[in-house]
Amino acid sequence: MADHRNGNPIVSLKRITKRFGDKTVLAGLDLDVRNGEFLTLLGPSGCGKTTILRLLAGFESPDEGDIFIDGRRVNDLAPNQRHVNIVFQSFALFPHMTALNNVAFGLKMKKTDRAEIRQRVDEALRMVKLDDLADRKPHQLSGGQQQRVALARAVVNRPKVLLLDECLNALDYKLRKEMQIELKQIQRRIGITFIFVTHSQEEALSMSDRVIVMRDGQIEQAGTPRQVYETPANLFVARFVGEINIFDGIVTGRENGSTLFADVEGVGCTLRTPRSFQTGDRIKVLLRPEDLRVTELKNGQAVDGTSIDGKFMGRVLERTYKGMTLDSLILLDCGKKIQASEFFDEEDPSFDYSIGERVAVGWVPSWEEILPDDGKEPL
Amino acid sequence: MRRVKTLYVALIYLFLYLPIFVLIASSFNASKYGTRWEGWTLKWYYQIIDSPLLMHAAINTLIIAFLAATLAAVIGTLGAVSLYRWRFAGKKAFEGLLFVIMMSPDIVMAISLLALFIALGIHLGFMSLLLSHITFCLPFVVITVYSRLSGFDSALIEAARDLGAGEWHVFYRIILPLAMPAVLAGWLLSFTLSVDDVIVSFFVTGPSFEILPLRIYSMVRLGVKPEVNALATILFLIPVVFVSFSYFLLKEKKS
Amino acid sequence: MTEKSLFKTATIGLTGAWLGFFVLIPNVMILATSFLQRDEAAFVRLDFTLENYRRILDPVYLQVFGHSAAMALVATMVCLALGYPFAYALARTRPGLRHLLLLLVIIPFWTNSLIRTYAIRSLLATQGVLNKLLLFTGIIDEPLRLLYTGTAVTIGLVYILFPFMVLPLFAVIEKLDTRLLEASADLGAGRFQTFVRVIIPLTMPGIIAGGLLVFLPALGMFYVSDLLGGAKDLLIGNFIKNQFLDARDWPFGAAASVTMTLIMALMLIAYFFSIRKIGKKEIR
Repeated sequence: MADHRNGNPIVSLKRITKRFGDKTVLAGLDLDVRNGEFLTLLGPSGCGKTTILRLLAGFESPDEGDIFIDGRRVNDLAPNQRHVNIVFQSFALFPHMTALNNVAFGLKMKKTDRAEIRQRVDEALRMVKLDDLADRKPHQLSGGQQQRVALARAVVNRPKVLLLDECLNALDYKLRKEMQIELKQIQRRIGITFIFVTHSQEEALSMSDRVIVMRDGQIEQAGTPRQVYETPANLFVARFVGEINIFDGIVTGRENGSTLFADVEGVGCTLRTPRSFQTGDRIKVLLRPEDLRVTELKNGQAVDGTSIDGKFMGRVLERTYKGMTLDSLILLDCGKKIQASEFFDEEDPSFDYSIGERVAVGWVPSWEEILPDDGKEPL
Repeated sequence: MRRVKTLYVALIYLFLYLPIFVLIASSFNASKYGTRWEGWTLKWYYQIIDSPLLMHAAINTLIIAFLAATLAAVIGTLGAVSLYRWRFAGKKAFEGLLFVIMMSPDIVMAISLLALFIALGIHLGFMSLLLSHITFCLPFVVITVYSRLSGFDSALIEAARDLGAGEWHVFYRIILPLAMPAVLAGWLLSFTLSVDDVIVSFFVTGPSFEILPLRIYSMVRLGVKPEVNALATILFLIPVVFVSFSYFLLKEKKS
Repeated sequence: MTEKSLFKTATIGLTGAWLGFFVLIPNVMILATSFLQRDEAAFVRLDFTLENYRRILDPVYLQVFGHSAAMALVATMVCLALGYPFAYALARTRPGLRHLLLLLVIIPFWTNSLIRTYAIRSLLATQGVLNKLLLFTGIIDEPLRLLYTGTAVTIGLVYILFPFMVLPLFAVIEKLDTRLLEASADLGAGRFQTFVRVIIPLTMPGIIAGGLLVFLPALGMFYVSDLLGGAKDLLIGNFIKNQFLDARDWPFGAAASVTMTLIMALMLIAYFFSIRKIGKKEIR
């Protein structure tokens, strides 16, 4: 038995390759999952995230590589012999059984004694706040309630790892928000490792301890939600996780390591980055909509009196009031369209800019992210 | 144009039902040859009850139909589960053989089974008849159950596996309860097929075990038998009564 | 997922063994028998021969087969001619009535086909209801000899197999998009044109399916010709039955059976090809 308190992973995938026919879904993938963490596999459909889940559950077996759960190699174990449980996208509740019997199913299969089954099932149903609907059949429950039964049915077995396959998809927006919070709370309370699969960056960011961004069977970046969002490892991650504006630039000079001078879309800018670049390198400057600051222009001068040096000039195409923020679509003079999102402030006069008006766009210094331009255009 | 259509449809129904109604009418006719109406009688019905041969054959028919339908339902359900659940060597052959049963003309299946029983020295009677009936009912159960299984969310099976169920428990606790309506439908279809069969039975059973269609066959080949009219009337009315009864029962339930 | 499961092994084993034992082996036996020689005592002698197939080509037997196929074909044509307008009329009635009418077509199905054959026999007898009716209405002066003729066999086959023609026809006609017919009328096609150029091609799968469902079983229904036909009105079914049960010439009967199966298989293959072709045409 491995000791995970010493940092040994609860789940370990070693050089996993999986093919369906002649399509390679996973190519030599390595992944370690820490005990007790809420890990999210994020990526577009077909990136192999669900395949990882199915490999862990035992519905598929890898063509190459080894799968370890709690230090034990499980490649050849059938699904019913593994200490993992899964919550399906469709919930897959047994339609002919009550909620109670659905939740009790796993314990009955393990021949747990009746008194213990009763107690644990009650406990699980109480945890998902369904103790008074225990005798209902799935079709008598709402989508959210079915989701809770599916969760209770998996958790009641006290698995070492709980797998969740896009299981919030079937719920409507409001319910999905509520369940995100609830899932996180439940995970904290019971302390089981959750591996959650989704293509929604919002779910990934709001619930996870760690996010694995995947594409074409490869891991593009692994990190905390904040790392993934603020310092994307590459353009794919940058674009996939959240909205982003990408500017092209060329390095024109450097100063004491972390400061760069660059020509970005025809504007001379000062940039900060931990990466090292040479003069003449092509770069991509990444700026989130909320990193940008938009200022109204009057007669070529900013109305708030700030300098327009190192800023992009443009024209407002669209403005959307979102309550908390004011989102604008701005067409820059260089021909690029960008998104800006600013906290709404009634007091600020410079917020008065309207459609068609000319504006200057800058950003909060040092919030920019610089990546080398490898010439590839992802997505 | 409408009138022509109605008249045409009516004529077709006349064609379908006239022979049956004539049969029913003759069953109450006192005349032995049925050429003239000689007054009402129930004596042909009494003759059936008094005829041990006919009663025996009727009971045998029901026994075979019940056993064949039940065993075909069991084996057919297992067959459908095999096709639905697992990949295995010879699966294509498995499907092919089911197709062969369905497409073979009755006479071809009849002689092939006869050849098998003779070659193995199996006595032609109860056992050979039962085995044959199970065989020709089998594909109909498989298809009925399989089409229901393929309507399931396949995650249900995976969920059961994930929760620790082995193959047997997946079958017994999940597949069987959910497929039950289809299993019953397959049973009913098999029962009907078994009762309806003439050709296969004709070849694979012997004098030791006679069933109704064969008894009737040997009776009517020798000439007019008025008690056959009475028997036919009963056999026609049983399913009609049964079905209309369940039909009204369903209607009642709905309202 | 190489879990050893007793249940899985037993399930596949039982059903697979059943099919192998009661379907594969018997069919192989018949195929083998058709190449062997007749033996008085043990049915067959293990000597290879093609004689049985050569005998099938003998004019005497070819005539029997030809007559049999002709009767089955005529029965199929009559079923189609009667069944097509009937199915069309049924498919165009209002839904509630439609299902009741369909049920009325199926009800006779539930009675054993032998009993229905017997019912037809009572109807066709010289002293039977049909002759009485025709005499009474003055259409004929003398009772017709209907029973024990090829016509009677054909009538019997039509009577028993009629629903097999109607049901597939009904299924395709019911699905026929009435807008297509309107479009055809709109484009200037007359009723006859619409029927020949639009309705018939669209319902072709039903016509072919119904045709096969009547024609193929019709070849084998020996009891129909036994009860209704004369000495010469044999179906292939009678022929095979006679070889197996009366003449005890199993190899010859087996050869006839194999030949019949092959012809049927060819027709089925042709059927599957034709529906695929029709499907492709529709897409174009």
